[in-house]
Amino acid sequence: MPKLESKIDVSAEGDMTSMIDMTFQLIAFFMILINFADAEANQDIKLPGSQLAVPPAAPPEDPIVVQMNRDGLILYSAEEFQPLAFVKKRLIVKRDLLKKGGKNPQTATVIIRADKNVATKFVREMLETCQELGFETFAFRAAALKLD
Amino acid sequence: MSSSATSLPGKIDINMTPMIDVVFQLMAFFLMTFQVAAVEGDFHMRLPSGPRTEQGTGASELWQVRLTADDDGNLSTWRLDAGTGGRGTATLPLLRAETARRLAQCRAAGLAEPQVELRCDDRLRYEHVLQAVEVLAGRQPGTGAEPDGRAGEYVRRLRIVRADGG
Repeated sequence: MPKLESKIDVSAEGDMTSMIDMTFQLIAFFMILINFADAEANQDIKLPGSQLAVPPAAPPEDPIVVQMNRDGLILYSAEEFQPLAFVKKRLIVKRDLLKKGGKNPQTATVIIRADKNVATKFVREMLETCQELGFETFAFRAAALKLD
Repeated sequence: MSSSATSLPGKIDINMTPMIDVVFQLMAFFLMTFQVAAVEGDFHMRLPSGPRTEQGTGASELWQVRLTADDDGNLSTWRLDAGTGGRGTATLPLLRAETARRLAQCRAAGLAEPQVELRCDDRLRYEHVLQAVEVLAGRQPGTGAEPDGRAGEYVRRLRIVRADGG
């Protein structure tokens, strides 16, 4: 019986063009939406909601973002939440740096991201500390709610 | 003259594998770091330290809004000076109406913008302070300005102070 020797060269090449197109579209979508500024915002803090708080058109010139959790501890220029006495020392350094750079601390904006459940006492004490150090401009941050 | 015949392949295959690897790595990065964060807005205020300063031509009034809290830190009562008051957040629209009325009177009389002091209990939750600020802003939700189109300058100068015995 004769032996049939068939030599079939099978080469399966799928057309990758469509998939690559779609993948690039997805990457472009995520690149446009990613916001590294928000990455600094601590997600454990639940902001109070507001229908009137206005999203800033442009970031302030010298923003100082101070974040406060529901226990009244503050996250500023550190890895962990700290008590006000610790943060005050950091704010003094910041104020001195501003002055050294020829800037007036009064024009720097202290952005307060405080948890909606924190006792007002802690927010007031932080405000008083900032005022004592010469900061006068504040922005109270709130979650923008949709209008009814 | 001799001609050299070179045989070129008809199709050049570029190895796409490394590029696709990188592209998928990028996509995985963006997918994992992506978070739909709520839009955040600001209430801008100018709060100088020390005693209140007179601005404008005439002496400005001082409005005191007293906010008391229950044991859980929720808004219990509010009172504007010794007059209008209410219980709970449901009655805060009354504060909005009263401040709008008094503000209109101030402006009609040519007085300077009033100054507002929020006197809050220590345990009052911060959420209610911002609610009061929103109400004092005198604006209706959905509008960019007060009904008469003027910015609520007085709100940007308000003070948050400790209530006596709070």
